[in-house]
Amino acid sequence: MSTRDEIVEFIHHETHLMNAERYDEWLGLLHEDFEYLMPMPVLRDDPAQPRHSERSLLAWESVSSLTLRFERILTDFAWADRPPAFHRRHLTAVRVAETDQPHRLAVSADEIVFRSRVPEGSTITSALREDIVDVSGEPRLVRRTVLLDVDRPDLAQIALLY
Amino acid sequence: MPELTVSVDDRFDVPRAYFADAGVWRQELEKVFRHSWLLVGHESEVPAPGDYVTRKMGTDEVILVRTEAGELQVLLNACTHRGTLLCKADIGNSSHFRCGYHGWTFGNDGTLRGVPRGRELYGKDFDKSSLGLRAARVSSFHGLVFATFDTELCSLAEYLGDMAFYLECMLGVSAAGTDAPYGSFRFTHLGNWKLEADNLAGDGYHLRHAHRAGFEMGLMGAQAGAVEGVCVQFEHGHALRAQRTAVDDDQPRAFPGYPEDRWPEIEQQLSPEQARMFAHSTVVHGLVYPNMAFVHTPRAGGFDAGETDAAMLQVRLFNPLGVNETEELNWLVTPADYPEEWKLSAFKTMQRQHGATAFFESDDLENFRRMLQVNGGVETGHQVPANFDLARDVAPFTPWFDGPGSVVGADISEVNQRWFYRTYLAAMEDRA
Repeated sequence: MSTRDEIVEFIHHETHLMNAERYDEWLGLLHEDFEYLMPMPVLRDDPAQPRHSERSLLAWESVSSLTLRFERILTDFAWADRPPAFHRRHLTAVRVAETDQPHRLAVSADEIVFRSRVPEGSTITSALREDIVDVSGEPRLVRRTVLLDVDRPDLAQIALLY
Repeated sequence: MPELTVSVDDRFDVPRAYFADAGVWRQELEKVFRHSWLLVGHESEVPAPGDYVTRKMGTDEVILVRTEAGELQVLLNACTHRGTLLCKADIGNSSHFRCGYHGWTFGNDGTLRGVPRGRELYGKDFDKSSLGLRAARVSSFHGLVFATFDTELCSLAEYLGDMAFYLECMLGVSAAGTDAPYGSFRFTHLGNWKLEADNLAGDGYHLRHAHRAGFEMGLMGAQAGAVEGVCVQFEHGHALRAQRTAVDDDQPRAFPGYPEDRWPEIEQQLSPEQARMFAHSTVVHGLVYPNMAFVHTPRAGGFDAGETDAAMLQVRLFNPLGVNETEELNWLVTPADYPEEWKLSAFKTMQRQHGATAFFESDDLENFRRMLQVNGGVETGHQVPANFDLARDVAPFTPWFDGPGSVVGADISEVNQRWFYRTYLAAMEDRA
């Protein structure tokens, strides 16, 4: 069983791999059942109600779809990624908690993502990242849910991975 | 077809100012959007009395609501006192809408119900009945809800006209009707709304270049094989491109992406000519003028092993927030009674290929914003009009079906884009 410090280190490491565009290595940190989910932000009148939809997912990726996504970038025809965007994920307040499943930990982090690309300009997006990490062996990401702090997301804010 | 000064085959240019001038945008809202039936949502988004969603019609804020009597209403989302936005949530359920400024309160059918201290301050003859929320005309087509504030405009059925023949092929396959099981997806992006309308109306030409990565990675399914296609234009500016796998006509009909045990129902639901048009389909996309589009594909790229084969119908709405910014809404529309597993597979195909975060879609939107980057240039504006000459002189082939509309036997052509811009320019130049 990994210690909390090791899990925090793992999360910092995988985030660094994304920032460094070392996608093959990042894919190697995913559990085979990995899911990447981005629920739609929804404005409801009552502050007690959830601020994200339970059924409408803006993104629902798997290991195979993410692999295709990264393979595309390596072709000569990934127009939206040539020239590439500047991007950097900043994490803070990484928290680790037990779950009711053995060898599964809940990890959450507050995240700021900076992105810049002409002609879209620069965006700074805040989000809550909620992960499930499998720790039965080497840590592996099982699920990542991205809860945007944006009520009307712009494409530039949702087209990159958090 | 309406008589216009420019024939569909005449050469014409669209000045770049039409994509870059804020004055053009204001005129579009008046001359195009105000006199069209506009998509506002799907009936399944507001199933129960009091359910509402807030939307835009052009730049007008509206509420799509199911009244206590169970009827669909589209109300201008503006208090009739000072015009404050009444309903600020995206979604909810309420029997009434109360303004946050002076407290005027409206029933969900739009009638003005309460005015604080009304009798005392406005007098006993104050006529509340004349101050209800402005209601649009509302009409549905296979679950899709359209609205217009134009009281002179023809009915929705007349407006869609012969386009209905083709829309029914996708929306009418099940006797149980349609569903939007995952709700709506809303986001904004850079780019002029007409570029998306132009692209989805019939641009088969860009596929092998803009989406070349998709072809190279084997994600285009039957579209990458031997295909034949048509471009079809309709009165009121609608257009559609339909493509199928090239097959011998004596081959048994297949409906790729649909469960085989539902094929007899599809044959029963559609007319023989509709079934002939829709069988062996590889892609159908098009534009319901001015700002609703759709993309229908059988499952193209197998992302996850062992998934159900499911066709995807994505309905899109693009509202111009300005000349350079567009608000887009997407829905997955499915037959209402198909298995959940089928709907889920269709949903994944939509979000991974054609959704806001999909890598496939990103290359289209990249092109739209790179046009934005140059369209405002003075020299560009004067010297480089948008060109629509493609395939004016290509000999058409005889389509595989006998369908309504102006059917051009050409898979790759700009005839639909010419038709869209002709209709649009006629409205803008008051020739409609």
